[in-house]
Amino acid sequence: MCHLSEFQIQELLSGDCGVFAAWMRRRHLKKCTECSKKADCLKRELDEQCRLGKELKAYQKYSNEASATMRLPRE
Amino acid sequence: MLSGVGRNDSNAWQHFYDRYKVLVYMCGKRYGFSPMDLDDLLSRVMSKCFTSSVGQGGHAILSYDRSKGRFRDYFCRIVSNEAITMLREMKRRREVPTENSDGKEFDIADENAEASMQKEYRMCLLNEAFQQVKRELPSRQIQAFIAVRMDGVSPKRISQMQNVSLATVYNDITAVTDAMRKIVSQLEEE
Repeated sequence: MCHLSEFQIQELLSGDCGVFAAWMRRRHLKKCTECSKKADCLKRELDEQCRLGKELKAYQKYSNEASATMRLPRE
Repeated sequence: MLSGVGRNDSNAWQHFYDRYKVLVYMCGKRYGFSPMDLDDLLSRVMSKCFTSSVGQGGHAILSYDRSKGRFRDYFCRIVSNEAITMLREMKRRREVPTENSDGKEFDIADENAEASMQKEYRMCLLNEAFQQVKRELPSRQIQAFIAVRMDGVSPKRISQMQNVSLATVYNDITAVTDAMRKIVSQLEEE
């Protein structure tokens, strides 16, 4: 059995591949334990990246609000 | 940075202020403070850190003892204590807010306050790591991360815009994430 590459799994997880390719890859993942483990690992990494992105975005929002409302305390 | 602050180094002061300002803001928002009260909270926290503390003969920063725990816990305690003191003063004046910025009611003795504060602190560290990564990594990698993970643009679109392969976009995003994680873990050890 030909295993999926890391790129192919990333493409599938990000929804960047075509419908047929996605179907074929998902079908393969159901059958192949090795690729399934690799996909779980990449999914966790993807979720972590999304979480970091969200936190940075939230931080930027707070930072902009803080800059608008807070001033340096006077000495 | 802390030793610089102790020596009254203005750059270290600014660095300290930039790093912790938003943390104070987030904490104040959680307690439902108005913009004016947030300003007051920041002033009180910074004053607490930089003016002489009675009986300790120096700055709160200088009297911080590394062997007793992490600076973040020490600083978070200062912020929480000042916020709660302000709330008590407002309560005496019957001006106390009962809802936070999200419109949710809160309790001063909130058991989750400590966890929220730690989460907010991690966000500050993450931002600092991101600013450092921005200076160190190529702009193409940073752009890919910002567009895909922060602004929700599809990786395919970025690969077309940057004229690189899709695999390169994935690798760029992973490179930025790995670099940030490495810096955050270094900052956490400080």
